[in-house]
Amino acid sequence: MLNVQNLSTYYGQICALDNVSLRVEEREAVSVIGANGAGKSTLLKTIIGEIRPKTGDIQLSGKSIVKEKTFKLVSQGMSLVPEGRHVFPLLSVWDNLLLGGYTLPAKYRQQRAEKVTEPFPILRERKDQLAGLLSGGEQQMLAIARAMMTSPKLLLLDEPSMGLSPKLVFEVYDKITELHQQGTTILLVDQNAEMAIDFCSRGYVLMAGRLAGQGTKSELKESEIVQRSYLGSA
Amino acid sequence: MIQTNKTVYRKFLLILGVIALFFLPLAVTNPYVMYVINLILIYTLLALGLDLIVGYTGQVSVGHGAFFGIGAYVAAILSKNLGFSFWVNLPLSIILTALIGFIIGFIGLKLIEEYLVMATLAFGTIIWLVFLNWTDLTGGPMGIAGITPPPPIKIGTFEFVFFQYQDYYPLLLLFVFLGILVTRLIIRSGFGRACTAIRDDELAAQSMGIPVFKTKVIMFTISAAFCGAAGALYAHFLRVVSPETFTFSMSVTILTMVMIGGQGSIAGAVIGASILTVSSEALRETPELRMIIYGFLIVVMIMFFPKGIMGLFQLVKRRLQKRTIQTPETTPEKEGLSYEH
Repeated sequence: MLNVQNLSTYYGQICALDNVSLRVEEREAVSVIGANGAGKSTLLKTIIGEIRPKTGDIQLSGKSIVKEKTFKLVSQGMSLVPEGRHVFPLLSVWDNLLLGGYTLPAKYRQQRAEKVTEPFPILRERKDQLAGLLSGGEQQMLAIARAMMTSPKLLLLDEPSMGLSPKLVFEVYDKITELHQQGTTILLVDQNAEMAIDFCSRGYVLMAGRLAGQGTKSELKESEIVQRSYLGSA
Repeated sequence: MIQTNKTVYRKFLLILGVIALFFLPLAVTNPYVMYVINLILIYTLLALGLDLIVGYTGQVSVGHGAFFGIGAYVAAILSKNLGFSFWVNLPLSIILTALIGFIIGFIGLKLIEEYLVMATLAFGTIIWLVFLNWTDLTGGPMGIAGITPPPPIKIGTFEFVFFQYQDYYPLLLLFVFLGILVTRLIIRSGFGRACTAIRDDELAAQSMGIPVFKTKVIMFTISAAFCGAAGALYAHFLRVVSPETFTFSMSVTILTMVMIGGQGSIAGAVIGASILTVSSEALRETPELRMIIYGFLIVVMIMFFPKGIMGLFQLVKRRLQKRTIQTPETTPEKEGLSYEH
């Protein structure tokens, strides 16, 4: 479904991503792990077209999207849950969801909002409440539900565990797993390597903008570099 | 049921108030006071227009005085040189100003915020220099005088003339209500919500499929169109236009109206325009002092009341409501105002 080939992205003279290649197959859950500054968010921002790469190609369902504008990728089946949630604090939970369905015909938005909140009963309970008054975990769930409004073929999640207490991280990952089990293809980047590896079927390790390793869940768990750098064992 | 009655009662009062406003000239006999009220209405239209781009879309422009000037000069030139009536000049002023707004928006909105301010500042200065120096067309520093008032309108046996300040007032009021209606329609539409989303979080807006640049350019164009309408109304109201009205300080004045009244609020635009017009008239003898006061007011508002008078009013209202609702049994947690993070 998603094929990233030899991607290099620069911030001015600084190389943030160096020749990175990865792929995500349909109905797969893929994680990219790495420390702070490894280039994970840059990778997602490049995929969604917010940053233009210097070299390389990105294909979605066989079609190159490397020059597409971010907003057009939504209609092509890609949805992003940005780092830090980015909910609209002064809009109600429901209005946030309806905005998520901006590209849908107006008459379907309500119906779709009902559908996407099925796995998130808390959002239904708080539908009229300002999104800024939700807890961090609830905001993350809102951001995920909002991204699901367009029924994306591929859901990109940027640091879903950032700033959440361990209990809430588990809750959020439970919901993401539920969405994956329902058939959503997911590409996730997270600093929380343990959760990200447990969730995925395959994964990649980014270090200083370069791919330092890749493999299936079990291969990653046994990998020395992951063990040493992220899982805290020798 | 009580709530419905209350809403109906409020709507009834509102309609009654609107009708009463049209009869204000019967109560105000002083022509100077009527002149100031008319200016308030023109500035309200300008503030509404600027608020669309500043308050609802989050893009700062200091060039809207120039759009106001373009609208005024187009109406003046068409009236004086071609003898066109107000009813032809008004739509043409709106269209031409909107077109220039589109071009400026298309170029300027590609820039990040600080540079957009610089670009609109440069645009405003260039337009002012055009008004001042293209003497053949604009009359140079002398401006254009002798603009005709709108021709009378006959409805049955009634004839509406627009010669005196009192006569012109209902026309201006009508356009202000039209401006408020258009603003309400825009901000309550999907497009308006997309603008608010851009203002609050551009990345999130983009990742939801909102075409950020296109949306900003459309809003900028509409915003300029409002100023074009205000300009045409101004030209046919004063019947004279000159470059000194459309300087950088005019752009700052409109921006101050929005900031003081409250960004993203229709009532705020009305309040801001009223305060600034009255204070401008009060400080007419000391224009230098006026700009110092406006600058000071902008800084104070940004620092202490970023949402302006309307924001302050909402805050007080919320606090009073909270005090009424909150009993010892109803803690903030129970109201859903505090959650574990």
